[in-house]
Amino acid sequence: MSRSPHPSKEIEAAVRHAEARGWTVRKGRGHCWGILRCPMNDAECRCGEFCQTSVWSTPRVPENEARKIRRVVDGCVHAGTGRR
Amino acid sequence: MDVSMREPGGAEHGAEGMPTWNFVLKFRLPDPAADPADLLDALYAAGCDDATVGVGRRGSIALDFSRQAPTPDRAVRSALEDVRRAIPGVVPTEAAPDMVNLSDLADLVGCTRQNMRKYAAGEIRAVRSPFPEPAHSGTPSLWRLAEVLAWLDRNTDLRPDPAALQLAQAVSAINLDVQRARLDGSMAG
Repeated sequence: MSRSPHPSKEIEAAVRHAEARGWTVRKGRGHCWGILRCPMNDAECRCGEFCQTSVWSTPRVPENEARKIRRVVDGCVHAGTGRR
Repeated sequence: MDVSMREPGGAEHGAEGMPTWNFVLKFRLPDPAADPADLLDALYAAGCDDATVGVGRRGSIALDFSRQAPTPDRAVRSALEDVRRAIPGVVPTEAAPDMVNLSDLADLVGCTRQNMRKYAAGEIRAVRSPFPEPAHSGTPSLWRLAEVLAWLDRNTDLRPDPAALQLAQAVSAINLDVQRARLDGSMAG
């Protein structure tokens, strides 16, 4: 996948975790580094608004941002099992 | 017992003394066709860099906050102010976690669903008072998290973090305001 890595190692690891489970990254603009999109992204999806989750380039606490990315992905019923 | 400190509903006690409160706020956007992704820079500028933003539904936006503040009330209210400043006309629709089902309760409290079901059904004998009534009885029933945490503290060995209870109370108070405003709005001509 040709995208630049996120400047934060923890967030980059969380994004790769998302990608391994079928989520895709759309490049963002401004303060938004990118938008993570659920594999199904349909109206029935339990993720709700978090079906597309924005990732800041410079969040206040990168560790928190990384954790939330993982939580959304791990809670998504449509995500593949992927590698853990 | 550990309302998981770093999940929504949890509070972390930082080394510097100022706790971090974890909660989710959802909003309706003034323009129902608006792409919420267009609002991200405004949210960042308004101080929402401590929230992860869900932009997957047109006309709606959700923010998962990890906000440092002396009290949960200050955390939640300052978050609301920041979002309102970034998006004039935005309307809060829900704060979480507050209304929770049995599985959510079990996860938040850190026990099995079966155990929580037993508490709720009154099948655990050695308790001083009955389990709180659901806020909504149905399939599924929903409970006010603050009431259940308070009950667990008084009636069981599961000792919720007092900060988690304060946070649940602050979130529930916001929801009461939001629900009242929604009802009033639906009655306006």
